[in-house]
Amino acid sequence: MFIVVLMLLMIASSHSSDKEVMEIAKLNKEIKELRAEFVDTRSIVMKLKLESTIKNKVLELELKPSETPPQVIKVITVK
Amino acid sequence: MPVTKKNILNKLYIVFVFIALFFIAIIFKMVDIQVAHGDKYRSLSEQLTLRNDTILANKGSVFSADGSLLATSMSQYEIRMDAYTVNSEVFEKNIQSLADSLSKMLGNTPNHWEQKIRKARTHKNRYLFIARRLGYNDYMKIKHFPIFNLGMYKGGFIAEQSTVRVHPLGKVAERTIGYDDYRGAPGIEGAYRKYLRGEHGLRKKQKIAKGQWKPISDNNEKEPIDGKDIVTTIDVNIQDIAHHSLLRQLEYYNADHGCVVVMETKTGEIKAISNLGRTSKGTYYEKRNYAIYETQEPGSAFKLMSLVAALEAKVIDTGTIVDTGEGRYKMHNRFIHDSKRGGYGKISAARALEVSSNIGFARLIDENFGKNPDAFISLLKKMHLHQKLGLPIKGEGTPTIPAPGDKKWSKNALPSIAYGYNLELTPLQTLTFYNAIANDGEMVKPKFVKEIRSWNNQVETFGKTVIDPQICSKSTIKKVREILKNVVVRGTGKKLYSKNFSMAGKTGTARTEYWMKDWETNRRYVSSFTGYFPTENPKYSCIVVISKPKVQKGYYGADVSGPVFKDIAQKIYTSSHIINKINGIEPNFESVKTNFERYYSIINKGVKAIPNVKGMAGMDAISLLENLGLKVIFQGNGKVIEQSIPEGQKIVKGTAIKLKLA
Repeated sequence: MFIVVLMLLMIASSHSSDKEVMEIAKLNKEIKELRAEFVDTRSIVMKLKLESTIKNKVLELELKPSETPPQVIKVITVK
Repeated sequence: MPVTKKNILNKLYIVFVFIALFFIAIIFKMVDIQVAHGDKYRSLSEQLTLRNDTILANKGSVFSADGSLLATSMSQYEIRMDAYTVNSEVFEKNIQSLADSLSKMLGNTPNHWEQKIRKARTHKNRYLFIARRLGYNDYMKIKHFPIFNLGMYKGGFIAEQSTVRVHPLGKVAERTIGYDDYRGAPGIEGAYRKYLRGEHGLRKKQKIAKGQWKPISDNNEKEPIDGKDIVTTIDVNIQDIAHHSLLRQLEYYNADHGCVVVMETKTGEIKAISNLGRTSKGTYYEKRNYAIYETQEPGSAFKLMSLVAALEAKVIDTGTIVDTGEGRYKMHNRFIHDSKRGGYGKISAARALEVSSNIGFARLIDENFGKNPDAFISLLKKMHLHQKLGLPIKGEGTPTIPAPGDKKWSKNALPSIAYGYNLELTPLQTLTFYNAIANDGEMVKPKFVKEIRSWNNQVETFGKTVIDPQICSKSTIKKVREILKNVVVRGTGKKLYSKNFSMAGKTGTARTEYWMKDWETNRRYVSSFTGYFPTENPKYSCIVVISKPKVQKGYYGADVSGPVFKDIAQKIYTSSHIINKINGIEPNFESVKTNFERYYSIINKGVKAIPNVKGMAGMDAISLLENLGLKVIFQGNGKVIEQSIPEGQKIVKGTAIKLKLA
């Protein structure tokens, strides 16, 4: 009788471990998909933020890159 | 009756014997299988249900200096369609909108897609190709198209995932980043493959239901080691400018190929490298790493090296006068020409570099080193011009500088070398020399990779490698830097001069393939511009080489390659701030002070009802009231003389208050 219980336990545990494996496979697939989404989205954003892309986009607004650098005025207080 | 009974019994015995024989046979076979062939079958069963599974190591990524991804491994999808499985009612209802969606996303007309899918349906095609190499976002989009959104069995949507290496920035610097697969291993990916790849792990697994495999033990036989990440020195912004500027010039001049490299003067870090070659259709792409592999005659760019060598030998000075005559000079039975008709006459050595006079340099070098060419060649070699840089990226071209006694050597070899022919260098080698001049004589090795990381830990960092701490004397450097500055101010690079920012460099217009018979009818040149900016305390050096521009449109270094150089210099100049320091001028007017104090006291008290703003400066009153959630409508300019809601009333957010200013 005891042995039967043990066997049942063993079967149950082996099934539950199988289930875990399926779960892991599912999660792995999800990781892959999320990673793909991340990289793909990031690559789209990176292309968008490239200066050459922005330059063409703002051309419609008749904006173009400045030919002189920004001037920073730094006020130093002399005490 | 007994007779029949016995008959039955006899039959029964026969059956019994048969069954007994049958069982004996089975038992015999069982024993046979277990004992005689047991090992064979046991191992067979193990093979079928057990396997040594490799756990794939994740490949590392390649980053730019600022952390943008340049190359990484990612899932991509190939989409196919089972055109036959779809229910005909659903199919007829949605086919048009599916075709519409597909044409919007993948091009071609809706009609084309409809025809294609219908045809596949009649042919019972269960594996119709739709698109390949789709990124995740496109995959999600296409998955939600009509019909496809019904899934695999009802909608016939088939997606096959695969892991591929992608360059998120597209074509930019593709060749230098490189790849590592069946095609070979060029670029950074190839050079650092042992870091990127990692090591696959091993694990024993047992087959279970649904085609899955279950690990047998907790421990892996061998743990996988993920690949490391490579952080390059490439600056995405400079790279972007360089790439597009080069592309524009190549397209305009319809040139065969070109390259541009930007290098940080002090450290030798390569900030941008772009190599574009023309396809048969006339478009350009990163074909080969010209900057690294292509050895060619540098032409006028080499005059700098000649001048430095001559100055070092102290045989001439920048003021030494040379007679370049009328632009045509016969030396050792061969004519040398200058690009200006009529010639430059008598000019100084410095001016000869500014205007890039071939005759000037041929004479200066030939007359001073003609009797002892070895001295000149050994000076060049002392400056490491005959050595490879020893880059980790494979395929670097070997420079050649002939010496007396070589096959290539002749009486004309020395004067030719003086103005950049009869020897070969790669663009990067030329740039390394110019960078040394910009860096006060310290020659640093070009560097592509900053560090190797594993997650957030540095694994290995690469410092700067000095090839030679001082390639020539400081006084020589000072002299040639002054001349290089003047090349842009008043020499061959005059067109590039800008009063806003400074740059220095040398143009180059070298003939190429002039040994071919058709050269006179189809002239081919290599236009280049090599230099650094700004002229004082240079931060970056840069080389632009464009091969075989269409001669009708122009071929001079300053016209073809110079603009790319200028674009980059200008970009870097405009993105650095100019800081003006002003010594503390704090405004100190009584009225301003009282106004501010009144405003400040009201705010500090915490306002619960409409305050009295009469007499307050308009800008203070408006900001005060708007911060309370009121809408301010005002008239006039100056101080408040009237407010439409009197003091002390409850504040109702969003109500309008009218102010009169005077």
